[in-house]
Amino acid sequence: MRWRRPSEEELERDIADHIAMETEDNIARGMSPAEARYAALRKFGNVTRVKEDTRSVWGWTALGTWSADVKHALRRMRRAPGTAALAVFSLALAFAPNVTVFSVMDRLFLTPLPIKAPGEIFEIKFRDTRPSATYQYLPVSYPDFQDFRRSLKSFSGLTYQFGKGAMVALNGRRMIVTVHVVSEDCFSVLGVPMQSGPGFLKNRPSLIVSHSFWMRELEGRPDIIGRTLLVNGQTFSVDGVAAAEFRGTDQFLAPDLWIPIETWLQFQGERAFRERRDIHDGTLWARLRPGVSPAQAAAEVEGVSRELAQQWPATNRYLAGYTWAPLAERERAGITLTSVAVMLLGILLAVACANVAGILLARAEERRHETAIRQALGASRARLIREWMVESALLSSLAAALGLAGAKVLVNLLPGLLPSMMIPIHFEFSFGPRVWLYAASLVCVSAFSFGLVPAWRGSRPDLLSGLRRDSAVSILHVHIPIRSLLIVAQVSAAEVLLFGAGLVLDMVSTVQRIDVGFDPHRPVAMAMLVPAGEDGSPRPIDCDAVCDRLARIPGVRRVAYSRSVPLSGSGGGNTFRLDVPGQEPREVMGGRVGPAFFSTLGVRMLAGRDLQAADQHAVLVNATMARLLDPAGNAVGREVRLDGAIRQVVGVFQDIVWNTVYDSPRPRAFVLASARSGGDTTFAVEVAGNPSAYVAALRSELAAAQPGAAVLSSKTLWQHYQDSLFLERTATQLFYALGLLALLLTVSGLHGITSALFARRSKEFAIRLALGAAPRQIMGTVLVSGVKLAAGGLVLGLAIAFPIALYVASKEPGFSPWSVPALGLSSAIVMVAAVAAAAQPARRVLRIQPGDIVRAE
Amino acid sequence: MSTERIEFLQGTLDMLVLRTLLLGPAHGHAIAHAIERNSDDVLQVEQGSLYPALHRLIRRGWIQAEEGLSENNRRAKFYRLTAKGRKQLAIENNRWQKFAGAIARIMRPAEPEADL
Repeated sequence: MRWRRPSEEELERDIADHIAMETEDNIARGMSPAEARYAALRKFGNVTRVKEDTRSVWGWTALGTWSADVKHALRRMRRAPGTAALAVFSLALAFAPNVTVFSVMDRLFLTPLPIKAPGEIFEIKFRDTRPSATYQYLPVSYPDFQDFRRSLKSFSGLTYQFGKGAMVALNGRRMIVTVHVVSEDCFSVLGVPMQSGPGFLKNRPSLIVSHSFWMRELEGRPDIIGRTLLVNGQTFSVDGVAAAEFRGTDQFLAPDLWIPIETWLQFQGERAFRERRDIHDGTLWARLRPGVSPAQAAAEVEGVSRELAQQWPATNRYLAGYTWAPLAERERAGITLTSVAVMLLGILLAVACANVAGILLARAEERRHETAIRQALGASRARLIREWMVESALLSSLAAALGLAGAKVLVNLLPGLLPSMMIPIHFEFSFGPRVWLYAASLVCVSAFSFGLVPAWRGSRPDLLSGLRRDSAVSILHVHIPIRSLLIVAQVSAAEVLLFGAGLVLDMVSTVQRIDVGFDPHRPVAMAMLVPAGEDGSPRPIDCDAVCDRLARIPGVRRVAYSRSVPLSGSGGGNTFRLDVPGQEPREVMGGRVGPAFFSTLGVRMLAGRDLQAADQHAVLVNATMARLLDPAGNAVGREVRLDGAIRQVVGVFQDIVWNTVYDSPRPRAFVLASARSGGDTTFAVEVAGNPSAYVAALRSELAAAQPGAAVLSSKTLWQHYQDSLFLERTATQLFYALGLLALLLTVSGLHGITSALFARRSKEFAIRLALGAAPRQIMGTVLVSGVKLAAGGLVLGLAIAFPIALYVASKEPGFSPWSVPALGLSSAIVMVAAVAAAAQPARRVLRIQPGDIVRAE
Repeated sequence: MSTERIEFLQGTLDMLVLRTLLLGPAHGHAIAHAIERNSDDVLQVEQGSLYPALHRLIRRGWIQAEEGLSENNRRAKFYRLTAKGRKQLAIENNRWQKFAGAIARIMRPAEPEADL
């Protein structure tokens, strides 16, 4: 026979029947009815406990009692809505940033590429074997890729790709999109299916669109396959929509379109790319053949690279093949970064939990009378603990709902915080299964960590003092040390975060003192013009005519243009081959700049002069290159051979950072950019007054200069410089935001405990006041008790933060824990906040009416 | 009352309930009284504690509950020993005899000395 769960009513009836029978028996023995019933009840024992014990025989999953617990918890929360709201809000303040940061981490680092067997994917690169190598590792050139593909037997497929920006004309609008230019078999090598369409076709210019682009710009039309799209003025047919979850192989920049390399080269007229082995500008991914070990494959790659070196000594002599697993490395780095972020955010969560634990301990004190009554009526301790835990879980769940809503808002704000890029980035954040799991685990972990201690304390059998209404003292004595410890922990966590923020800020300000080689404070506004016809096709513009236009804007003093801009985040610019008689030919980095562009940016000339409009055969070199050309320091006037053409050095300028502010000086050469070109050109205007006032005018003048052209990243020189420090500034802001949130929570906790301390001693204070003590003196006592806790937390926080900072400093040069401003600022913020939190309860001393309180005794 | 009252050993209440039901189905009140009466009022059941025990025995399938009418025509829940319960009672009985015998053997040698 299967066991059936008895109902609550059945048990109730059984017990009632039993007591009724016993009562009848007692009456039969001659007792009065009232006496008989009383004796029956006494003989039966505690009815509530019997029910409780019997129910526990039925099992813990009794749904009825759970829903009763939830109802009960809701009722208790409604009875003190302020406290419940404070607890929920505290937790939500910690949940929202936790979920936000985790969802970003999830999107960038934890989501695996939806490609088949990612463990089989290897990247092939070159290692430059010269000690003087500019870069240790170089991407493979396109002709080298084709040779590798022909020769390598260890891989079942090889694919090559590079990223480009392009102009798409659609329904009268033009937009800049990200294109991944790929070898035709890219999708089959990666094992990524189309969600619709056949994929690249050979007989016509063919492209594949991303799911996101399809939804965003093509309205997700199902009949899109076979339709045409104008890219850079060329007609392509849309022959595929990539699988929805495939966002390209780049971790950060999702492409909108994929176009086959051969088609792209043909349309762009980049014939040189097909032949030149010194253009290292692509990524080679290969899929390992089953049964071949990575070591065997790496050996074969090295062998082929040696053959290439023999065959093409001019370009490949120093290059050795190098094989590695990029996806595994990416995963490792992602997990490390995510763990660091989760730990940092965990501190904030811990502070919030400590806060809620403090609030609940205070509630336990308030409920002591109620608890004692329930215990007297037979409620078991397990039952009371369970009620507390249900309440904690409920608080935590409500906070999670609020926190998730907040995270949604924050996540939507994120793209707006990114610096303005040359190519618009479409970041789409959604809460995937990992984010939900993370949120759920936050709920569980927090509910347990803030709920257990109050549950244990709040369910303690404490009948005698609990039933006496006035004896608020005994349990307060027990609870205040715990709550004090919580406050000390909270203050220390806030101090750790604020001190960390100070150290990162310190590091950023050190970075900002790096001499970048130009003057970011100059009153310069700049913007990039992408010349194009109305169909999006490349159409050269006359830079001099545009400059004349810009010069007519009132307040503009000087106008310049350039194809290469420092810190533009677009990579190295041009590479020139430098032949110096008697030396090995070598590559130098550099670019093409317009007349007086460097002067406009405030680059200091060390010798000679800036480029002028007629300087077709001139070259500007930086100090490092000048030393290379002439260690004696007389580089100006010398002739050099760059890419085979003779040029004369007209000026030497100070070293200037190019890719990032951390660039170490390397030789750089700059030649005149032609005044007529279809390439992206940055225009810079030097103005009188505040440059940000000119950004809009610059933008609209540029847009009017050529119908069809796109204007991108219009900003001041200062913003441009700041954008290059985006990550550093974000890290500082994140630290400060976390620190201040932690402090906010700590302040509310400190306020709570100072109030409790005050309440506990209010009688004593009243008596002291009645005996003539000065209120100011008593206020001091209350204030000092709060400040003592804060000071304890401060010391503990520094004791925790310093070893961590020392460890980070050992890994990260440029980071130092010995920062007086960081120490001073964080300590000051914490102490001021502590005094403010304790001041309000302290002021209540003034409202004490000694007479009332003493009379109540 | 001159008889000493003895607290229940863990688990013995279950055995006594089974033993009581061997004589036929009974309701809770009757079981409590039977235990008290048959032990010459030495064993005092706190009557409420019978219910968790009864429900535990039902869960294990040793007894089952059914509706019935009491001697003075009240409806009440009657508990009946199942075949499985009968078997269990035999096991418990056997175990108890061994236990009681063992305790008795340990306690006996002390008696003569106590007489001195």
